[in-house]
Amino acid sequence: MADTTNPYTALPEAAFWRPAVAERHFLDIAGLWTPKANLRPRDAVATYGSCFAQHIGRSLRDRGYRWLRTEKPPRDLSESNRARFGYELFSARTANIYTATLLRQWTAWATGEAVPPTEMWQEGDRWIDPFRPKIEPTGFDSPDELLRMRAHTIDCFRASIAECRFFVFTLGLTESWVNAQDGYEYPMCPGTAGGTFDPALHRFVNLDYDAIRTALVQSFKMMRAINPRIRFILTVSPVPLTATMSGQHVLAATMLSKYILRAVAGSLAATQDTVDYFPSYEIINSPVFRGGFFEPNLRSVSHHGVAHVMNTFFTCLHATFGTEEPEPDEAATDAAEPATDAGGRKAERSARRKARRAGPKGEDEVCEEALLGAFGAQ
Amino acid sequence: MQIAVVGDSHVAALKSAWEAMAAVRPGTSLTFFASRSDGLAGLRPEGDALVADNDTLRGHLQFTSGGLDRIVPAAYDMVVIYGLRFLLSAEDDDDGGVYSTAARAAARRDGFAQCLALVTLGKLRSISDIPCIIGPTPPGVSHDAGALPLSADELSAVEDALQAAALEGRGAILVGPPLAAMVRPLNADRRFVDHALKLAVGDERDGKGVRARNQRHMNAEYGALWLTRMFDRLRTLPSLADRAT
Repeated sequence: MADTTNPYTALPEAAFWRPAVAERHFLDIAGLWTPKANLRPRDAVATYGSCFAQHIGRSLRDRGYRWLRTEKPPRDLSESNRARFGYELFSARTANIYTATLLRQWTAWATGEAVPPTEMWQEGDRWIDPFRPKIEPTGFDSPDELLRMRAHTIDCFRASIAECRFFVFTLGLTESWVNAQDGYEYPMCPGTAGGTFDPALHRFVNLDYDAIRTALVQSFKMMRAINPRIRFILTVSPVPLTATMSGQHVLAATMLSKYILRAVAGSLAATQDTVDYFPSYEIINSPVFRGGFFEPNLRSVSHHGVAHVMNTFFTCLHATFGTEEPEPDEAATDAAEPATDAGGRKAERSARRKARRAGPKGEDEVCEEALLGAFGAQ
Repeated sequence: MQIAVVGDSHVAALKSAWEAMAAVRPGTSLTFFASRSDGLAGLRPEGDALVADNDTLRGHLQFTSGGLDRIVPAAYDMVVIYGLRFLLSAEDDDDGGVYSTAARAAARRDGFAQCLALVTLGKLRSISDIPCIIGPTPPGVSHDAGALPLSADELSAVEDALQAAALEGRGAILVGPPLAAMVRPLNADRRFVDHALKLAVGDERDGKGVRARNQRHMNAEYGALWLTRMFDRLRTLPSLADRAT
């Protein structure tokens, strides 16, 4: 006869697959995240990272949270042009920071521990910043303007670190490109979104667990020197690689890189009190969700998926700390529901939600990495 | 010469001035179509006219024009679009050098695209190619008692830049503020807001003075100077010179 006093008997329902997952509709799976600290509407939040991170800031803003934007757009700049010029995608105009080592590079520039390189790429009479090659749709007017604008962004990046209570960073890639001579990192391989590829100068690096963990630890240390109260929330982008240089199949390379990023984030969350991990990767990618949050290309996350991730974020905060019930984003629901849903639940849910729904939001990511898709076989 | 003046609360200065000027310009008729704030956003093209899409605006058009509830461009020789958030500003606002030239240019274009004066011009152009003058919202008053007068060259430079940036290809000509009212860097002399009145549209606020903190609503003296400058400009336009008195 089984011992009824073994440790499993005291576990909550969430610890068991059958009641927590198998017997629930996937939209009803709850308690996926137990936040370490309460993120209140008045807490300033800085957001950076890969393309998927752009959704986090917007969602905070839309729900009345204090999303820090330390680099302001020019007055009158329209919403679409703000995105084109890289404003209000992140807290400062860094463009996507895909890797932990790029985060360390930006942080070192912000703290003065490293000096930004003077490398820039000329295209006709325009000038491209290698560290955010698409930040200006047609490039900068002059080298002076490029360096001035980058210096301003670094100041704003530093200000966001200094002013925030939470620093949310979405880890996107392990694959990166570095300058073999001086060691600095590019967000995009030279020659793809600007510049010219030089095999003697531009070196591919696929970051391993130790390199990523070290880069994050060093980044956090530098940030704490600016802001001792800062807390970190790590997420892993659920968006697969557009292309890989690893030599593996892109699917295998994607899984490996995401698992490494996930493992690093989990390790840091487990060992540092001020570091937390929010499972956006799992919410989109777990087989439980049956791929229903992806667009037909099985790469882009749908608006419904984004909404479900962010609803989960706020619902978990509420469940843990009893804060105000968030306004759910209804875009998270209908389209994600599988045709095989039994018992007429889909119809019921749809009818209930359609009455309230304003429709999915139409703000897309600005993602340079997607440009790599243009270099594949047609 | 028949002129339709279409605008916001700033039209009050022109209307007051015209009451005194009309007698000395017997060949010219001004018909005003105005509403306070962004009321004219409710204009929409319908056939050969701009009509109100709500009763409030319709009432304002009737009150300010003396009975007309629609603007029929073919009934006039030209249209003046006045105010409606079309701001006179230097090409480069002082932004502390934190924006690229391209971002500033895009913001400027976006600002124009949202500007009610240019939105109204677009509606007018959808039904008519009538000559059109744009009169900007008056500049804010100077708080510097010792501000020096703006020079003609300085004002021209601002106007030329604004004409090129905002009105190129739109079939409209900018007539900026009267030089005599302007001081450096790009403001109106404070005396031109003295005794300024609200635009009368047939409600309880008619005839009241604008608030003390008013920085841009001008008096009839300013209105007369602007109208005079506008008539002078008409004489230089080949299509209208023979009708401008």
